[in-house]
Amino acid sequence: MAESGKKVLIADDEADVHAFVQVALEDDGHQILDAVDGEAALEQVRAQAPDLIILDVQMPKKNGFEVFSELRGDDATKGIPVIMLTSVSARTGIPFGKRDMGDYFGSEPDAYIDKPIDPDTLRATVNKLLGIA
Amino acid sequence: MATLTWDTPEGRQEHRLGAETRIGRAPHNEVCLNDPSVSGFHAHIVLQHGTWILEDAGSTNGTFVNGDQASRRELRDGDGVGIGNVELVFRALDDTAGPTILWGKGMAEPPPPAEAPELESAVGAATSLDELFHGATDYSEVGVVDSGRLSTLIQPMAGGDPHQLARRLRASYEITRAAAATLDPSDILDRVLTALFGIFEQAERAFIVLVDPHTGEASTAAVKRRVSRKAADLPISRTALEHAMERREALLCCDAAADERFAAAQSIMQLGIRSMMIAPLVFRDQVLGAVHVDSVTGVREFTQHDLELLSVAATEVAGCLANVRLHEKVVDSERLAAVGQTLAGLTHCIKNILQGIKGGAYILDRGLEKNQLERVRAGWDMVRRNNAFMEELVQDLLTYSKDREPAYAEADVNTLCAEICELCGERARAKSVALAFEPDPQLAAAELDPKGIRRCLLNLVMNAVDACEGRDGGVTVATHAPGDDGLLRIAVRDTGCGMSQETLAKLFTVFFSTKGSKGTGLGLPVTKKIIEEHGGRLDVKSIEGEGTTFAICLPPERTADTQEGEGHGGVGQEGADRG
Repeated sequence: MAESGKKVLIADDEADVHAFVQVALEDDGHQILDAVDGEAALEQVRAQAPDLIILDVQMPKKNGFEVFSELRGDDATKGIPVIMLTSVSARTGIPFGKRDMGDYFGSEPDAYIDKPIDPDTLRATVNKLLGIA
Repeated sequence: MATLTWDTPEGRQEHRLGAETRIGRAPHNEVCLNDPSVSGFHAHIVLQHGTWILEDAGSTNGTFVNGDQASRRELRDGDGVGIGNVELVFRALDDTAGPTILWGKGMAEPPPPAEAPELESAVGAATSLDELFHGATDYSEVGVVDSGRLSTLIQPMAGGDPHQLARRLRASYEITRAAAATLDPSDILDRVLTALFGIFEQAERAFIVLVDPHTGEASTAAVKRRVSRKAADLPISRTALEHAMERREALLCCDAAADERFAAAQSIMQLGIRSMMIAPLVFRDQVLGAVHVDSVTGVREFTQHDLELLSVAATEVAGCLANVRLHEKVVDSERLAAVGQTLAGLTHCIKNILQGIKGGAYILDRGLEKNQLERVRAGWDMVRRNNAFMEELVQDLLTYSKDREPAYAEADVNTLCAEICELCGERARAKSVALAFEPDPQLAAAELDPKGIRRCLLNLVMNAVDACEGRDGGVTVATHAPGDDGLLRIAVRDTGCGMSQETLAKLFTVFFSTKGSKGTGLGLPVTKKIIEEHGGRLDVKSIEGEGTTFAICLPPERTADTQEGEGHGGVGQEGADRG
């Protein structure tokens, strides 16, 4: 198992997703950090300076959109690649996509992965954004 | 004055009714009907307190009013009376108001045709009107009714005869009341036709033809008749209907069957209609259909006043129909929006569960590949948990989606609560939340659906534990014997995060959840529904930052309401200021 030295933060309130991401990315030797809500995610970003962030949309305290816009609004963090885990917003009932993000935040995540996450897609997307493989 | 008229091979017969009129086959009857289907003494009509009552005299073949068998019935002007196979028409005429015949046999000239305004849009092809002809008539033979002779454009009533004005007002009122009483289109039409029969005593049949807004085809939407079936089966004039709808004019035709001018055209004469009126149903620039009222027997004819009344009525009806269609559109779009929201919420839930199952299976596979038993276990546990979650979701959806009668059984509420506290104890400990139970020893066994109430309690206690997570709070479940309102109470109190007014307002909205991917947003709606099915209610008090109390209030035994399958429960929400 080669150590890539890359830090990947997974922010999702579901422990199952953490376990899954950990296993899916373990062979690539990334260091996986985790956060269970939006505020914890931002703290981790500041403390650990991850190389890539995987953000779920529905999270307690701060949702994925809010976290994303704070990250892009801060010079220190705006360069970190972000993968957004998408599903459907239960609150508005509106499935959101790339266009909505662009419209609302003027900026878009580097990639979207729809839930349920396909492990191969996740691996390929992470490594591409990290410039590996 | 009241009369009975009927047709015999010798011609039309008429009998003026006395205080009592006996009807039968025997010669001593005042109305003697020589027909084998008529009993010797078949029925009689008596005048009681100013109303005419028809009573069957134990006849063999029965007495009918407007096609319905009647043993005793008050008669109204224009009613069709069936004596065995003989059809008679009952008339109770108002002697004061003599009908004005607009055009009739022997009249020199019809009034000059009014200028019809040029209208650009015409109604679509009224092909399905063909069905109204019952196949018997060759339509090409039906001459085009000369609009110059038959149509008259409604103009404001000149002069202002108070009698007619009163009639017109009453008609307008009757129609508005009939049409505004409901939002069900077929019900509206039926009420309108009934009202029209009340307004036009001489009307024997009334039809409402509607144009399909999508196909443009016109078809009969409602029919009402008070003449024998034979006469009622007479077709209606497609030509006249099309004319009225295309030109947006009301039509009046009097004594047409006897009018020589129409004999050659085989028009209305062939249809056997003696007097008729048609008014188009126009709303803004749209022709919605037409109202057709006619008299087949022609005992009394329609007048221009009647046509004016019908036009007023048609305007009211068109407005109401347009309103109903608009309402239907709104309801449709609301329904679609609700369905969309429900599906989106459901999709979200299912996707999260799928994520768990797929993720678990992936971890399990990797564990097998690498021969790591611990990983196999973790993966398998994930699959199993999410599978259980899916089962729970389906169960909640089923509970929420249909009305069900609680499966009542005698249960000890204190025992039930103790079980739930034990069940949730592990989760509470894992989250460092204190969970206490305060039973009321006075609380006797109650009649309820133990499985349903268990589910409610489980939802509420789990929610309370979640609300206390990381707050050093505690949850108390307390029972209370029935108080003044007769309801027993199970309170689930927490000193957790509490809820904002915004959250409180959405508390029972399906798929609304503050728990992120951990909540389905079905727990509270299902809880509320189960409690209401018991005829109980769910009270909520919450102060943001301090805590929340949910109280299940239940009748201790089955109530009459729940036995009828109809709960009266509701949700009492008390704002934070009162908490």
